[in-house]
Amino acid sequence: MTTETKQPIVLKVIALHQEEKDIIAQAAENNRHAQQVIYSKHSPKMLSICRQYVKDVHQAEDIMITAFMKVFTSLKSFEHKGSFEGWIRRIMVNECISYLRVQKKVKFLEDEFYIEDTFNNIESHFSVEDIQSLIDGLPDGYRMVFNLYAIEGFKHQEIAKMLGINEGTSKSQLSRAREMLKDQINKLKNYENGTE
Amino acid sequence: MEKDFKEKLEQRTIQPSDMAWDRLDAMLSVAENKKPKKDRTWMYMAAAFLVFLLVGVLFLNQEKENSGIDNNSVVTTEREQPETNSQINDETFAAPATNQEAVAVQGLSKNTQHNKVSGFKRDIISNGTIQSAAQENLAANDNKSSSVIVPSNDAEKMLAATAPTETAKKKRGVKVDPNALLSAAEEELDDSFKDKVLIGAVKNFDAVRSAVANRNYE
Repeated sequence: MTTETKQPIVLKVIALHQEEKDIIAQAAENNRHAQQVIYSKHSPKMLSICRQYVKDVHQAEDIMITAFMKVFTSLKSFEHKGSFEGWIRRIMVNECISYLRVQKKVKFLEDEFYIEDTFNNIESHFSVEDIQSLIDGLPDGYRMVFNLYAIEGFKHQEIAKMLGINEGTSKSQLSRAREMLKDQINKLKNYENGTE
Repeated sequence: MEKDFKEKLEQRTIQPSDMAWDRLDAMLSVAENKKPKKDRTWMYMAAAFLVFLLVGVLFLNQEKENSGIDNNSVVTTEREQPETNSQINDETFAAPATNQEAVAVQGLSKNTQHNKVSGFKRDIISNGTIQSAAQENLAANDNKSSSVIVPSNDAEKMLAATAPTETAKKKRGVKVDPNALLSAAEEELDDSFKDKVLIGAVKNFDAVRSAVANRNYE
């Protein structure tokens, strides 16, 4: 019975994968319908990613559109080695970084002082909006490193390469971002408890 | 807590505005329309390259033609040279003739001498005061004169024999190298051009120097 149920799932996955491949191939040939299908499928998640880096939703949407342009113009270079969503996500993140670096002129202080600290001991009962507001409260540099490390799962070495900074600077930026988040969470808790 | 942040943010989706796709569509259309222009630019570039190539080929051909004309001129000089050589040959050939004439003149003078001597002999005979010694002497003179004439014939032959070799030597000696002539003419031209340029530069320099001096003086 279990084998009977497993087989259709595998077939369904293969069929979906093939369908995605076909749509990607069509979109690469400038088929507008295929491009719209891809956009409709991925844009809500991608806008959320862009929003993590940029405070303003409209700006985040602009970045997302520019990044989708890059996605469609460089679709032929996608080799189907990893997931398509991961590939788009990487383009979005890179676009956000370049936007912040160009528009906001983010400067990273070459400070390599950091404390190996996490705030895993803090209980989380925050909604997505709260989390976003907490992240928005961080300076651009801290926010970038925190998002890349904690949300995207990049290593400090990769972040250093992406941002053109030292590994130590990346670590210190993360450490300071965590400190700031802790302070903000404590303030928020105090506010909720009515002590402040 | 970071995991919780990550999970919650991963699950979140934000619906873009309705205009977002239209904007992207417009951007894609613009990008698609730009592509053929790029191809056209390549075509223009190729056309420009071809035009330059054609102009270059034409220019080279013209240069070749010009150089061909120069070669012809060189050829004419070469053709003229044999004429001069032939003139020289004629002269050289004429030279033996003059030699021959000279020899003939010599012979004539010798003959006249001989005639004089014979006249003198006749006078002596007519005077009737014939002296054997004098006759002997005269005979000796006669012999001498005859002996002088005989070598003159040899000289003619020798001159005639040596004349062609001399002309041949002259022929060999009067060799004109067309390339050397050309290069010499070009050098002369270059020198004159250089002189002109130098004179112009010196004049300009003097003018500038005088202007600067005037300004400083003022």
